[in-house]
Amino acid sequence: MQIATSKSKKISPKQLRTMGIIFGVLVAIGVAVGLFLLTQGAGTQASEEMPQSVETMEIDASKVSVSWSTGKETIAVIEYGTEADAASFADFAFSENPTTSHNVEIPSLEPETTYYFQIRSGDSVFDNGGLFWSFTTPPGDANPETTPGLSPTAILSPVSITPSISISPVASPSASIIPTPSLTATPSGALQQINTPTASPSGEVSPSPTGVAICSSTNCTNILQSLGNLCTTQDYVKCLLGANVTVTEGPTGTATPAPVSEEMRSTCAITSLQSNSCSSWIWEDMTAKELSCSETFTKYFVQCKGTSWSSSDPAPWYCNKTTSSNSLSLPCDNAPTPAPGQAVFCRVRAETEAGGDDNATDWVYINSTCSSYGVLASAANCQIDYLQQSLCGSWSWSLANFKDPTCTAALDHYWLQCTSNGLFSNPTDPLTPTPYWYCNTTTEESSLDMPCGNAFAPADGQTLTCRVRPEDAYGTNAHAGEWKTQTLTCPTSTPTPTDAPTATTAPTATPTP
Amino acid sequence: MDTPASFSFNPVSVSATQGELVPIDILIHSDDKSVISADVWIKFDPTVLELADDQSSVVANGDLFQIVDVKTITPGNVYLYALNQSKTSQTPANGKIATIMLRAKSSGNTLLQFHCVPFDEKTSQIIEFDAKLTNIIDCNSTRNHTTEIIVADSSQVLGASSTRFASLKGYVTLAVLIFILIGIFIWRYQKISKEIKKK
Repeated sequence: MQIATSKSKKISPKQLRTMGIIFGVLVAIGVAVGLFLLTQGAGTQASEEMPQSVETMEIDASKVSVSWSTGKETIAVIEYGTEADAASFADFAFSENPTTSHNVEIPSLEPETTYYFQIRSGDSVFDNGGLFWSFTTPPGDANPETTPGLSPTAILSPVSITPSISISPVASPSASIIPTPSLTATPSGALQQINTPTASPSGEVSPSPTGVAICSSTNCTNILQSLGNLCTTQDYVKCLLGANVTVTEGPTGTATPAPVSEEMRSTCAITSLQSNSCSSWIWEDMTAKELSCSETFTKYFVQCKGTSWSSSDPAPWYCNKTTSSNSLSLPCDNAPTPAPGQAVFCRVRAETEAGGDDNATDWVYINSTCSSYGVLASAANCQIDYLQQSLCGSWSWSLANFKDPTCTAALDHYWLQCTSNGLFSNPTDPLTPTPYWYCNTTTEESSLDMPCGNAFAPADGQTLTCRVRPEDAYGTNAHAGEWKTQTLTCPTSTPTPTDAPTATTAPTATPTP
Repeated sequence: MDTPASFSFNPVSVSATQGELVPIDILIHSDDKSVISADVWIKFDPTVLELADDQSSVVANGDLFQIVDVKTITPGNVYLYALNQSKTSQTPANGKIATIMLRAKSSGNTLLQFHCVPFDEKTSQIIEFDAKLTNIIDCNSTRNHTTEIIVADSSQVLGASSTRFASLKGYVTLAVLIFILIGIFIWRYQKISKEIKKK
């Protein structure tokens, strides 16, 4: 009876209808979930926007080109900055038209500076897995006078020490007695006051850069129509005012007059001096003027100090020299570096080879104030946690407290030194071998692969001692953390290249930030 | 000491929804220097913003200059110029050059920035009305003046976390849908059960 009842229930039309309803409900839920996921865009859109084959190419010291490709046409934006922190990326550059093959130029970069960037493509941000892409601009040649080897602050300020100066491996690779000549250089002392003009400075600040947009048309209407392309409003106003404007007036192609006439001095006067920061200055180049100006005035006399030119108060001098370049970077030769928050007053004039007040244009004045960057010494626990060698000559390190904003804000760079015997100065004992310097450099990265500069890379089985410390922008002992020292021996059998990690691969022995 | 001549934006922060027009004032500060013209180069993220070129009110003169106009040079790069054509109308320029109209193109954040790099070919300039038509702009202070523009999706509430809000809304809809379907199922099952019991 029970069996019969059971059989009766199985074949009941009501039961079949119930099962149909259950099936229908499940299908409805499936459809609802599917529609939901579809509207949420769980497709491949993001992957199509992902940058592929990201490459950087140096154009010059202030300009870098970044190229990459995407699976779909997008307008992509590069967000960049000098810190590996997306929150600090204040500048950006972008591809101007939707494309799959992107090539973006990043202008106005500082020389010898490492920049980090991420790419915003469509609705997504790509940051290279949190590591960010990076590039380092090459050294600029704007100020050849301030060569590292001439800096008397070499001992305390490693920023100016380059491996090519401090390490001179002219001997065989096994040699270990090459000292670092620049480390023993003696400062020449206080800044010399030479050729200081006797004319009384006006004290008036005259920041007056002129645009270099080339606008050759003499038709004012054409200039007006070309504003924003070839011409500026300055060109248009010159055209409107005609002969009343004296900027471009004067003889051309004439030979150097001697002595320099008042007219020549006026015509060739520097009309603009600007600061990009308190340590970076640029002024109008004589070569941008008439030919006679560059032929007559062959150098610039630039002075910078800590008080106004109308002030008689004693002040530190930051620069006082002649240069052939139309730009200046501080520190200037052996002068001190302006302190954070320090006002810097600079002036410049063009001079003939003879120099002096009678053979110079009028001074142009400007001032700027240095930003108040953090001081590392005041940051709590801003020390190196570990220093290690993953492969022979491949060193990496990390801060103990890399998430401390006080520390990271003050940190400017690291100073790494490596020698063959753990001595970081010339031994006083004549029997002690002078160390071979494998590295003596500053870097903003937290890793370094040897060879360092033009020094030799350590050989298999070579023991070397390295030390590293964090430093702020000053980089003196008072502005640095403690040295972290490590002595390690390179393995006798170097891994094959195919097994070697890339330069940016983090070591695995110790957790990396 | 003279105040450096510079440009700035007003307001310094704006929230908008997608498609909305965003008016931005361009201000000039020349202290006591007489200014005859100004070139203003502005850059922003072209995926988030665009100049509302199709609007007749894309630029409104601020009454400091006789001629003011604005144009998009490339996406994300806008050039605005301001001119006085009369020698007698040069006065210290402190105030609003113009109001430009931008359109919030898509959701995201961007900074409005002045492009000002000394000696760059296309850089912002403030031209003093002196014998040499000196550019008196101070790029340091000009570059420090920016405006942050936050564009939210048009279907979202301003100020809310856009992505999270969208996801939450979707999940609530899905949950309601499933509850309704299950409710129908239970109701139908009970009804069928009663019919079977009656039989």
